[in-house]
Amino acid sequence: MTSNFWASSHYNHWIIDRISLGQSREDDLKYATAEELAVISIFFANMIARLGKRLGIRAQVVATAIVYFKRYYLKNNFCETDPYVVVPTCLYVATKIEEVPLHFKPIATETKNMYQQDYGLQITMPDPQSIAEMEFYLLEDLDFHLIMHHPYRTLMQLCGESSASRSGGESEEGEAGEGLVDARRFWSTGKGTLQFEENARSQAWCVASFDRHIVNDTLRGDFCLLYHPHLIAIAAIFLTLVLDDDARARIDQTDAPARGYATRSKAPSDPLPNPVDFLASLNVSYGTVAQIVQEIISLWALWGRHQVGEADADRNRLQSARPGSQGQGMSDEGVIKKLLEMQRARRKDEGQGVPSRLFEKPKPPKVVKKP
Amino acid sequence: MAVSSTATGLDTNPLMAAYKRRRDTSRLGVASKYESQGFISSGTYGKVYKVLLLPQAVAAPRPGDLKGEAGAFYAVKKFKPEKEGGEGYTGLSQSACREIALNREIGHENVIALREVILEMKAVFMVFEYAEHDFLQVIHFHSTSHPRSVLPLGVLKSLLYQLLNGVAYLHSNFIMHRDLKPANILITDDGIVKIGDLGLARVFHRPLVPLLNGDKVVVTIWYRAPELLLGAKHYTTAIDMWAVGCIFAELLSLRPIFKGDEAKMDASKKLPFQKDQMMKIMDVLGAPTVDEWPLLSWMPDYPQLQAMERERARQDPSKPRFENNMGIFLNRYMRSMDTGRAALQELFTWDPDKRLTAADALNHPFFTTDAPAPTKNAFAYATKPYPTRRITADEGGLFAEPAAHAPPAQTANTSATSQRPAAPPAPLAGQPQASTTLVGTSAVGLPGARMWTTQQQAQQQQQQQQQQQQQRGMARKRPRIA
Ligand SMILES: Nc1ncnc2c1ncn2[C@@H]1O[C@H](COP(=O)(O)OP(=O)(O)O)[C@@H](O)[C@H]1O
Ligand SMILES: [Mg+2]
Repeated sequence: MTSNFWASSHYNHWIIDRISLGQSREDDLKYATAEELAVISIFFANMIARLGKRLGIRAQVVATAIVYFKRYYLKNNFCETDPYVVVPTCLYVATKIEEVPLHFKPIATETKNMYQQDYGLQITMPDPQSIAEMEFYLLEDLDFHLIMHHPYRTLMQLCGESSASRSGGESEEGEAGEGLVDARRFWSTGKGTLQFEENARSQAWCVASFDRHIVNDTLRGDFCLLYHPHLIAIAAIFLTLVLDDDARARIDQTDAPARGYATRSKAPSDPLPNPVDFLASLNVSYGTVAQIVQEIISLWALWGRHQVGEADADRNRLQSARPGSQGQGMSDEGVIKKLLEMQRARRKDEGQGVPSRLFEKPKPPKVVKKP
Repeated sequence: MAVSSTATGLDTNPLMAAYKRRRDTSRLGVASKYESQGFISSGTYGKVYKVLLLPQAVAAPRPGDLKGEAGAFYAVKKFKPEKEGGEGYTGLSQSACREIALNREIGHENVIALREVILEMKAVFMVFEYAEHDFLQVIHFHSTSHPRSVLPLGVLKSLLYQLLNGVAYLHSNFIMHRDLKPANILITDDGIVKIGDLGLARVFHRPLVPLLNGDKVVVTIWYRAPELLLGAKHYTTAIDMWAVGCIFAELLSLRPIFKGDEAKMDASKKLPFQKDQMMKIMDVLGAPTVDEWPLLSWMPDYPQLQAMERERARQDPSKPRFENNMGIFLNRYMRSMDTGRAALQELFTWDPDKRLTAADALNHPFFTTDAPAPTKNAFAYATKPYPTRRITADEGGLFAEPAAHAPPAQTANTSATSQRPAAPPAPLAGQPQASTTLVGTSAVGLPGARMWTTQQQAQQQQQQQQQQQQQRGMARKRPRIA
């Protein structure tokens, strides 16, 4: 459904379990480690976000494009496809579905500029025709399920429109105008607990849309494939509450951000007890929220070990003060090289008749349904 | 884009060429699943064909597809690939994208179900459950029968009720249809109403940007709500309810109640004020007042409306005002049906905020207290069977390569026209041209996207003329993208 998550294709067909997620990566794992794949995933999410910024596209549309990309790679291998064609195509389809259509020609032009200027890519640039043609294959691999449910909507409902529109200046703008009525269906206890807006403190909680940044960060991981969007949103709010700006600043000074986050998250009630109580009153699975929180922290840790997307503003936020890690992890160039290696290695194997699992039986991911 | 198809696109990319080959070989095409029964209709973007599901293809191939019924009929809507000079891919139209995206999410007894989508030969095929009838056809049947007959009240009420039920479902899921009209409302042979053609529909979760800057023109002119005619920048589901009112009236009188001429867009690309349509409405309902519609004076085209009133006063001093003549209409078509009269008038409320909603309409005494009650099979009270859909020869149109389908389209079009000899009187000159078909997503701001060969243009014009003769293809403004 377009508004009821429980009746949506997102819920019914595209929330998968870890095992299926792992299976979808079997082929790529022959040519890269799990961590390398995770970095590749961050790299491309960054790339889509960056292309979106260049084209002046809202965060919501970028988020849709990133989810398309991730779903596409549940059914395809990095070592056997050209993600540099998939990136602009995801954005192209997302602009249409999110009702801010762009033609594929300007997208192709901007993609080329970005590849050359920001990444120094030495590849055959995807021409407009290949984006238009790729659209067909992308839609098909997405099973024509194109409407997404993003955590932004829950954020909006929980934190109120005022803070959302206050913070939602430029490209961070998400959905607006959502009624609270709809929210109740998702997770509330139905006791009118959603009056965040009226509570003056809420203004402080959603400071500078920090939780929105966390949600954007989750798009770098597999969260959108594994968890319900409202749980991701609640996890993000939870982290925001726990990591007030001061704490954040302190943490950012240390060279082990992950540990800092983790410690703080174990003492959730100290900074702002009320909102945490409020979150606890929501009718959602807290085991899952806790797990998401842990995984976001791990994602930050992983991200922190690498230099991928170093030039992005988002990254500076997280690791500006992180000394001594240069040269250890993968940089953008590292990812670009790694991909080439993977593709070369795969081509060699293919020449020797080693089959790839995904193409032998392109079966859809197994769906998990949680009550 | 006069480039040979081998020199561009995925084929130039070794990895993607291989990927493409693998996908293409593993895919089952339309022809291997369905057998064409002939051509049904040609619209602005799509052509619709009747097909038979072959027994080997009943399984639901991808998640979200519907299982099929062997030997059952389906309707396949084939989107013309938007073409530039006949070569290559041009991207799916915004309309096709919407229709696919929305239809993949929804499911309701009174909304046409999408069985599956197939991409093949650079075209998109949407496979819908088959509906033997539609509102337009039912209206024609009565208006052309000898002697002219009216819809039995039970049939009318059931059709309307089921329509409202489908609209209520869409609205409760934050979907505006934006193109409700008799041709888009289908009925199965067991009398179940199915709302079709979601090509203009959209989700209104995020009204801020889109409704302002998105499609400038929505809803076929005769069914267009006054707030749209007056240039409202922001509109609501109430626009669908106005259209339902128009359809209700049309089911009663068997002709469009507000049959205005569409003013064409001038060279400045500014949207014209639809004066004639507004006039047709005011001839029946009188002029709206600020009393009954407080925000009226805020409408961008309110000055135009005032000018019309002044002009009327000047022209005919004996009748200086637009009078409400709804009583005449109601007396003629619903003499003794108080609740029915009330329902129609509530649908024709000027103020969109006060207009009857779909959910409230379902609980209207017209349906809940007054006999006959609506029936699940809308034809239960029918006195004669309605004629089945006319199907004309396919001539290879459905399964043909896109490049080759222009000629069959023409024959098909001709027969589609002749199939409705007594179609409602042709819209007068000045109806919107199919030039709007050129204004798809792919044409945004790109002169190259409008390159048409002269031959195509000629065909296009011919088609336009034919389309003008039928209400089906009439006045369907497709989205213009800002
Ligand atoms: N499921 C269907 N079963 C039977 N006929 C259909 C079906 N869908 C559409 N049609 C016929 O085709 C016509 C055009 O279809 P529609 O979806 O309205 O496309 P368009 O966008 O071209 O108006 C309809 O008016 C109707 O006569
Ligand atoms: Mg139609």
